[in-house]
Amino acid sequence: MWPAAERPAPAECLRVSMLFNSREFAVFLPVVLAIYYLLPHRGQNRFLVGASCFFYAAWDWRFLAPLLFSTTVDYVCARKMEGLILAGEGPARRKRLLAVSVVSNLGLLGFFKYFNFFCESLQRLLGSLGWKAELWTLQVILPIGISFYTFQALSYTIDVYRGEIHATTHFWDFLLCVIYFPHLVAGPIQRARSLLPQVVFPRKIRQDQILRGVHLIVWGYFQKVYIADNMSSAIAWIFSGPAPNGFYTLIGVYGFAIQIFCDFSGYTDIARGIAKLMGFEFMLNFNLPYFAANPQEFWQRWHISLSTWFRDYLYLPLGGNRQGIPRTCFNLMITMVIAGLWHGAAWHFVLWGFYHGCLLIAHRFLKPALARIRPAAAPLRAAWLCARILFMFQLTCFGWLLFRAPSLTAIAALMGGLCHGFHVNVGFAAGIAMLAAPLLVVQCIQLWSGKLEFLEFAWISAEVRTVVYSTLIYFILFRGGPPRAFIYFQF
Amino acid sequence: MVRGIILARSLFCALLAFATLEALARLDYHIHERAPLWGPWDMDLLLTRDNLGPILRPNSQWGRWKINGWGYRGPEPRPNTVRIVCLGASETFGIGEDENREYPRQLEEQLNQRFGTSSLEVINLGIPSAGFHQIVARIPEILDRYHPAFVTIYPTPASYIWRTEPRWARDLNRTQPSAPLRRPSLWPRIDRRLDRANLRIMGKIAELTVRTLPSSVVAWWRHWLADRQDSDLPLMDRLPEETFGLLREDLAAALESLEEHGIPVVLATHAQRFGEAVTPEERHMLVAWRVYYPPLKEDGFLDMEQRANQLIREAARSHGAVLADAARVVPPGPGDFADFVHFTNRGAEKMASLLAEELMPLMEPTLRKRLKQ
Repeated sequence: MWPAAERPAPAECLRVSMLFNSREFAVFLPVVLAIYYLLPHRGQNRFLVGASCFFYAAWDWRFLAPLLFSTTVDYVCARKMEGLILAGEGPARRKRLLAVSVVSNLGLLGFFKYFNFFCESLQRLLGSLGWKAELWTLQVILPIGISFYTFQALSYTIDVYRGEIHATTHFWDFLLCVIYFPHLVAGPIQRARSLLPQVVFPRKIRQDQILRGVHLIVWGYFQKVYIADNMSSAIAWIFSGPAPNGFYTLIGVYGFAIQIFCDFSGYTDIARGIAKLMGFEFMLNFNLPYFAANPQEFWQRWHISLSTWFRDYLYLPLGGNRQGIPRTCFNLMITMVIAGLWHGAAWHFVLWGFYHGCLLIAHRFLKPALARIRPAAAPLRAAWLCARILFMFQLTCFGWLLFRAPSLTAIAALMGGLCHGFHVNVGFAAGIAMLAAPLLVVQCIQLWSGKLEFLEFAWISAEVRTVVYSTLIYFILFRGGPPRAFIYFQF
Repeated sequence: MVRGIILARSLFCALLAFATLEALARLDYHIHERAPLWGPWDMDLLLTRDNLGPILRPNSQWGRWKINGWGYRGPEPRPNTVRIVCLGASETFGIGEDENREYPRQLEEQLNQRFGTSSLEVINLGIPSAGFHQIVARIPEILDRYHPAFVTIYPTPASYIWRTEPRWARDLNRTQPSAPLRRPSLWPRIDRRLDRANLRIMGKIAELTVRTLPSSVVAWWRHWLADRQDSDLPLMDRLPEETFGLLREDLAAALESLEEHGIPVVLATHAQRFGEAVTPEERHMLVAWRVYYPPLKEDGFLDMEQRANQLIREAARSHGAVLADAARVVPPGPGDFADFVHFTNRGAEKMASLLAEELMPLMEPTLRKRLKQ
């Protein structure tokens, strides 16, 4: 798009951006909310489109071009497919229109995100075979959130193709579904079937919705600003320099597990909270994933909007588990490898996806045997569950090592580091544990109560809530780590 | 009735929220800066006043700054050493450096290293917020107390802003400059009241505000307040010549007093972050500096520095003192300055090297004599 010399570094792009933890956003949100509450329903929708365009253009106004292109193509294709359904035509022409939508969305994604990756990988492969090939690479920057909005727009056309939803006649409504700023850059990947009705019909904002929204926002910021950013400062050196000894590698991996969860879950909570303040309801994206007892459960709890997207639009269309064990294994593996690649154009993400594919396949084989272990006594049952949760957490953390390491060689070095030199630094470990402690306490309360809104117990008085909120706000404002971009923005 | 209860409860919750924030701020300061949970926690813990002006309290502590039993920053004095006394204000005391990285400490390290000895001792007599005339007034007492073999002087020209006409403002009780250790205040009157209330959360909120707002907004706000600050002095574009006359007199008094006692002196020009012209990106820092000296407009500061340094060079020449031209040797910019005039560790190292270079030729004969003895 522009010469390499002029190309802004990603960090620079983010410096002027409208991150949720930026001062620009601290001005933007109250202004948007104040105007939003004054407008009627249709006016609210138009205004939100404008505000979201402004939000997105704050990174770079050129990012709007692929977004508007994708949205327009999907809107037109969906309208035409709806027309064909109403005219009672067969699926052949609809399929062509769906293909146009799929090709244009994935084409955009492929062009911006994967073109250079595949060219460079091919070049390296040919080079290793002795052929010197000069392949093109493009000097383009990745539009923020492209992986999220292309998937969202795709789900809309696929649902219309399947006849599961009706295509909207209002372009602005569909545009708002895609571009709505709380979920635009890092999800949750909302399905049109749940978001579109909320856009089309007037929204009523209830008091309890506002309170929950505020709760989610405060807790989200605490996770991001206090836990994730401080954790990132504490452990970044472990992954950036030469591989440290086993102790530091281990602590670094555990620390990253906390960091990525708090970073992404924090973002999602803020997004859901902001949406609630405007009368929208977003889907749940995280449901205590580190309390999963097996890989299947983990993916039912981690980044739910993405895992259900892959289930509904890739795994099940491939045949799911209905065509025998080999085919099921193949489907699982292909789904997870593509999910890995979705996270980034690098081989270590592919490896991470492959690793989770292996875990899911292994679990499928072991499931009957595991189901037979049913201790009779309640304490034993609890101990067995704890053991499974702990074991699954170790497996997940090993996956995070593959995910966080900057390259395949770094993975090898870190794994080598894991095997030697456990010189324990109690102070360092205690610091990491102190950062993780609030999360553990809150998640234990959430698990015990079965409610993710941990301050919603009737017996908690307003005074106690005030103290808890004040404490969270203090840590957000005065004890936060150095501001960093959300990890998932790069996807 | 119900509305009244709701209102009362809301008010109580608001008070509770404030109390929680204040309690957390106190705990935070207690854990990270060893501040007492109760009682005052400000610069007054370090500083007191006598009839000559501000002075450091022996055995006091505030933040990371500790004062020894003799009332200066650094280790207790050792017997049988060759003493070098560093005179100055907050730049000498060391505000922007880490512990033991202030230039007098680094000077001691460098000199001992260069001479291969440990018998050289540098006494840091920098007093934050002290005017140069107040330091000069203390010289007889200092000589009597520390018996230095050498003295370095690093004067702060900005303190002379407060000594500008009207003449009665020269009275020592009225010339006390505002304390550079205090954080910049966006609204000094309110801030003073809050200081009296000793609410630590307010300090945190003020810091956060300054950090969060764009620097241009903060600079505009400070500029606006500085222009409207209550002061007996007129708003000045540049310092009048008579004010520099006072600096000339004080330099002469200091150098003559030390000359009388036969103590070799190294006189340093004043280095600052901006050099000869301030860049647009750094302008907000210049405005922040002005917050402490509102009677002088921003552009007057650089003019003041240049004229004062010229006077310092002339004074060194006319009294035969050795000149350490820090204004030329320590380059402007954020690498060497933590704020407008206070050094970073790197800046302090450069200052220490410069002083060591100038001191070495003076010290060699003395040290040789000592070694022979």
